[in-house]
Amino acid sequence: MSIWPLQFRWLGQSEYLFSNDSGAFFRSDERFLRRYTEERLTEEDYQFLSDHDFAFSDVGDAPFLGHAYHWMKRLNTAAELNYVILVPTLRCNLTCDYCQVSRAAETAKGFDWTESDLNLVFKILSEVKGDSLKVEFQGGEPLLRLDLLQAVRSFVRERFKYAEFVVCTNLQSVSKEAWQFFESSDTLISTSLDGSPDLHRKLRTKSPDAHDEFLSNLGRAMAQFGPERVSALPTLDVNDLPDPAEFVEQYAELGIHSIFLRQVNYQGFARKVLHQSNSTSWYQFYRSVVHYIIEKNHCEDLAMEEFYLSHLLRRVIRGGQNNFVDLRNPNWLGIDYIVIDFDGKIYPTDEARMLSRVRHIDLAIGSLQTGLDQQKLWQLNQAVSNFDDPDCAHCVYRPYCGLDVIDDLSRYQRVDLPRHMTHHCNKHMTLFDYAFELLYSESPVVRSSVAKWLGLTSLPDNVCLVHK
Amino acid sequence: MEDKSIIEKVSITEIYVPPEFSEHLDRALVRLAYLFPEFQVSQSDLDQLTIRVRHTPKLDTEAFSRELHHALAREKIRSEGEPLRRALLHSIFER
Repeated sequence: MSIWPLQFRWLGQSEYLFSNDSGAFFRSDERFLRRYTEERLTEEDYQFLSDHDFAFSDVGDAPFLGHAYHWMKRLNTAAELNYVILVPTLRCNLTCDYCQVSRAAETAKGFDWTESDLNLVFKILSEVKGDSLKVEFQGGEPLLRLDLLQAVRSFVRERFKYAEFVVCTNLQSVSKEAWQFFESSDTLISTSLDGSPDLHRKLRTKSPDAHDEFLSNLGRAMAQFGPERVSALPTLDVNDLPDPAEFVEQYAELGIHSIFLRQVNYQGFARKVLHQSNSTSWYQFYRSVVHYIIEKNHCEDLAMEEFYLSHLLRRVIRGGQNNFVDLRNPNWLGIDYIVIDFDGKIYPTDEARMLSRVRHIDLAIGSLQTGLDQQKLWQLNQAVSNFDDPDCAHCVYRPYCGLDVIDDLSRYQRVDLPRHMTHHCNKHMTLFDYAFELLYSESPVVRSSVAKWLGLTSLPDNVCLVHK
Repeated sequence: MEDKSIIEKVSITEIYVPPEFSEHLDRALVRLAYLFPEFQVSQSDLDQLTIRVRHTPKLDTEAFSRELHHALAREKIRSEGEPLRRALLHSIFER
């Protein structure tokens, strides 16, 4: 019998977490680690490993193929282009303190697509081979060019069998025509709601009148379209965090049950205004929010979640889950999604656009006029897989994790730092530790929330294995 | 001229390395070098079953010893698992 190689993580005292490449995992102890590495496994060890996708007898036998299937399921294969972020204008009607993409003034000239740009966008989209496309309108404030949004949506609906549109808007000023635009069931709204009303006003809307207008528009959007089509994402300054309970309650009152806790992105213009984050206070806040959500779910029979933690749990338990483009393995750049900026430049991610905007590094991979720069794409895609990274290779969370080349370039100007020295790695080690802590919790209150986040009625006992 | 104030601060800790891990020691030490910059091991410090680690008093020797054994285990697992990983990739991509 052959044992698939196991990665392990010391959890303190004698406890260890083990995983293999297909993402199967179990908890055990130091005695097992010694038996495993010193080739002294017992019959009971072999039986356990054989029963749970950790071993096979012959290449091509059923356990081998099962492992191969689960391994493949976690792989992000390079798909055809199916997701575009479009920036028809960089102009905006707000002046948020931590704007990440250097908006232009609402009345500025030369920051919108031209007619020629629009036609070139159509040309690129018409060359997409698949029959489905997701379009995300970013800005600036995209509603300032509703005419361009309407033109793109009409073209895409005509060209693709399946289409979905997300308008990332500040909901500050929504015209009658914009509300009509939102009425279509294929069109979603993504807006920002920063912690408490005071914080949101301080950082974004500034004046009481403008803030009331935003709240009125958000309330109308929620009432008219519901949480299935409206999301409100916080952007939080770690040096000015809201009260966790008040924070969660604000979302709950609006009927928003999925909260994505995001720090101010250390990219774009935000880094010029705000100081580097204090990770200790951030994760204290993070855990407090999740703990409050768990208690609230229990008391009120809700299924609220912190989006990213739920996403990580789903990547652990289900595999796949590659639609969230910031965490995939390999995380191919400029292949299945691209960003087309207001000036016609094309970027592999929205964060790459931010870095270029502040002249940190030019990560443009082409333009509407010249097409994609295949040489640059090839270079960027050299370090997007964690399979052979010398640190990730030994990491127990590797099957569920991924690399973020853009974030590394942003923070360190290089992509080859030892992983434990990077923000991306530290963040994900902390969050995966927390995810597994919750998975192995014996509290029925915690287990109930974890099951809901995974889309299960209850958490089966055989999901989180223990072997002694 | 040697700086005795520095030499006097150097401590030596001996750590037992089980024989089945000895062939993975070099790679494990390279990886530990960035986790524990306070230690040094030279070729002459390597016996068959023991390494002598020269380090400053700042080094947490208990943590270092644990990390060394973890690094040895990881390198051994990685090395011995390579044929299985190749078989997996071959079965998926080369048929």
